Amino acid sequence: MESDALFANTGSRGERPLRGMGWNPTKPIQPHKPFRGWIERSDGGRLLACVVGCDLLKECGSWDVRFAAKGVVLEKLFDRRVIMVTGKGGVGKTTITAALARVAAKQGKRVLALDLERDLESPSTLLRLLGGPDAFRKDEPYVISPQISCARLTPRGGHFQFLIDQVPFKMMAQAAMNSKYLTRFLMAAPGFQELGLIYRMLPYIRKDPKTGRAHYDVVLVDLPATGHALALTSLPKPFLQIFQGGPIRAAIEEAQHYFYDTKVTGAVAVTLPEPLPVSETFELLDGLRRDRVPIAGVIVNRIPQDPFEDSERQSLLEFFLTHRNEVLGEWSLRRILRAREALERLQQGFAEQGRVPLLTLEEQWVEQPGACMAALMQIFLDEPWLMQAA
Amino acid sequence: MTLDDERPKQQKADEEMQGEHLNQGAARDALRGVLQNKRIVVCCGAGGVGKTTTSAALGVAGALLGRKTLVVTIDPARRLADALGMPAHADTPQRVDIARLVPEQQDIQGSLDFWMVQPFPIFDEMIRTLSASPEDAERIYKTRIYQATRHLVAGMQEYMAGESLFQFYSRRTYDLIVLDTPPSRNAIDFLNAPDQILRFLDSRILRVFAPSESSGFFLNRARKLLNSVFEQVAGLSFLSDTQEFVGLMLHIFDTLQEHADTVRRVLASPESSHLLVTSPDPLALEEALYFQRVLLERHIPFGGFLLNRSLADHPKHSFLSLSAEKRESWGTLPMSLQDAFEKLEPLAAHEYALSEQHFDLYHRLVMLAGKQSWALAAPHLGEDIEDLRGLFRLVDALLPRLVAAVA
Repeated sequence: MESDALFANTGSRGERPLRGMGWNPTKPIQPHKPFRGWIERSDGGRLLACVVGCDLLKECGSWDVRFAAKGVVLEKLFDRRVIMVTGKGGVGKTTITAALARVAAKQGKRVLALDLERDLESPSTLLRLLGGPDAFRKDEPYVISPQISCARLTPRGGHFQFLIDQVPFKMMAQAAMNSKYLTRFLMAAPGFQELGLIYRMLPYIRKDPKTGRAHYDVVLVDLPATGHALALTSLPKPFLQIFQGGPIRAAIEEAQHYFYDTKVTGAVAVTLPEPLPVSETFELLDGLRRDRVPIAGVIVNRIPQDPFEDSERQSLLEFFLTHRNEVLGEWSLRRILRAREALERLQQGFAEQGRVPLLTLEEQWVEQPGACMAALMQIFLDEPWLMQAA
Repeated sequence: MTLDDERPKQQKADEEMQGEHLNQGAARDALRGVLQNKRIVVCCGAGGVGKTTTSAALGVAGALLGRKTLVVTIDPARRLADALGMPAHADTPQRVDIARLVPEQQDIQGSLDFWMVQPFPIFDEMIRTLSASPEDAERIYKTRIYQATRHLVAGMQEYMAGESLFQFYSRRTYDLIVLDTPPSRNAIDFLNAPDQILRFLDSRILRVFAPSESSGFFLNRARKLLNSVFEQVAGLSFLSDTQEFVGLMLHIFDTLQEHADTVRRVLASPESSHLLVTSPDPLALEEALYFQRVLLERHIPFGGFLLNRSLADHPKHSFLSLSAEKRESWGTLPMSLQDAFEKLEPLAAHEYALSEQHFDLYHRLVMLAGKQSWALAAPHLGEDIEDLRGLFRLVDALLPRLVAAVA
């Protein structure tokens, strides 16, 4: 179990060389405090927002997944170099990726955010959220600030990169890419698009053989939704069967070397506190374990605010059963109940499948556009799981 | 200024009094027409908008309208399959027992089958039925490429969804096929898939990989280039493996191409209709505009917009403006309830603001739809649809009176 691997060596962790301002074994981690903050949706309008909340965790009972408060050592997310963000469609993957990128940058890391795309025709939301021009149409990193770059990677870019690396002259690679036959094959043969994307990611992940240093401290990958993300992570097995030798095989093996290493890579699953997204999260975690991708944590986004005591929820529910459609609020109440049930299911699932760090973001209604990404960053900066311990 | 404000105050008040303030009669008739007359209904939309659930509900509606209906989904929403009492990994479509939720006096002519695309059963059957001989099929099964492909998820689903659509369409087992498209960031992705498949299956391209036979100058040149590239990058075994596989499959690829071509033609014909399922997301309007334009450009029949899980049709009574009489009508409320109401108030205000936003979005979609198409708002039923009963409720909200009463 990859997630268990996070905890397996708790006792001996102090012996591991610590990088930079990494975890300090002599300093106890502070108990979790309640946070408030906001996040805005990608269009920047007056919209729903999220807040990290401990209140809810407290109410939901013994959240052993929230082990920070129990003194269990937390594997710091940004100790890993490659963080892959995925989850069901529409749960907020891209927004979370952008916020994580900004937080890592604020912690002094050189960050690269990667947007994996089919082509560059439509604008990149990730680039926009990071403050870059969303219509940037080149398959290369766009430098947003000295700390943050963002690149839009495409299968075609990966195929081209591969040819450049393999054939003696760039002109030959260009000629091959101009070949209708080859490009049609590469874009339509099952799995070759994903292969191209994986290849395109490699230069950003591998360390410079001379200096032994990676180009970026943290590479955040905005993966596609569950199904396509798992199509990507399950690719190596059949392709290693097909390619018995040569540089394609070497590249896949190199990718596996990075992606399977808990010290290098961690997947973050974003979800919502609703039945279907929670079910899909379990399927996603199962798939990631099967494909040996280390799981770094789960982020539950848009948890509705719950100001009620248990008894109040109960009496309100009874009231609405007898007074249907008389006043507003029933929809909100049911949403809260659904969210609580979803969180309990997550907790139960983690108890059965192995523990996973869990971060909850509570929803807030915000009036002021613009202030939100910064506020979400503030939450993340306070979060022990993400924080660089001082 | 919202569209909402532009409507005469009196009209607005009247509609609100009726509880049904969206006036969706025409849109409902249009959707009913689509389900009654089309052979293929394609549900497009970005990930997470509820495409699979909507597709299933449209399937139920199709069956209630008397059609032999099949819902094909590519989304791995196992829970929905569970809820419908369906095995998630069946090799063939499974019958959904809708009769148990319909009152006895309502006679159902139609039926509903549900299927989650399983690429490999289709792939295997395709090889079995299309190979020149059973020996050829056996030889294909033994190739390394075939063995590896069985573990490949990427790309295979799209291919096999197309092939299964062809099979169901041409066998005429079903009157209506509702197709749920794979989750993607972009609703357009699915529309590009057939072209890409067709280009790939273009036998001229695949012949390049086939064992050499006499052919034209350009083909030979292309083959030489490919051979040299693949020898360098993939090792000799890849090339010989591919040649063996493609050689055996060439005939199958040709048939597959014909099938893909048929599918593309049918999807672009008046026999089909494409719906855009969208959620009340701020980006929904932008997406709808883009989708409509692309369909128009490619001459693909566009049905309408389905605004899913919205509060557009939410009751308009505000929690904040509770009249004194209303409070009195409840009698004396227990203390705990009074506290709870106080805490509920900001949430209800939020709910109200959301419903205003969704209402506004809905009207913009109606404007965008114009006279040629339609926009229909499905209500937020307050929960995820988790069973057949839930689907019936959604059907009832989309097309009221289709089912006499949900048991």
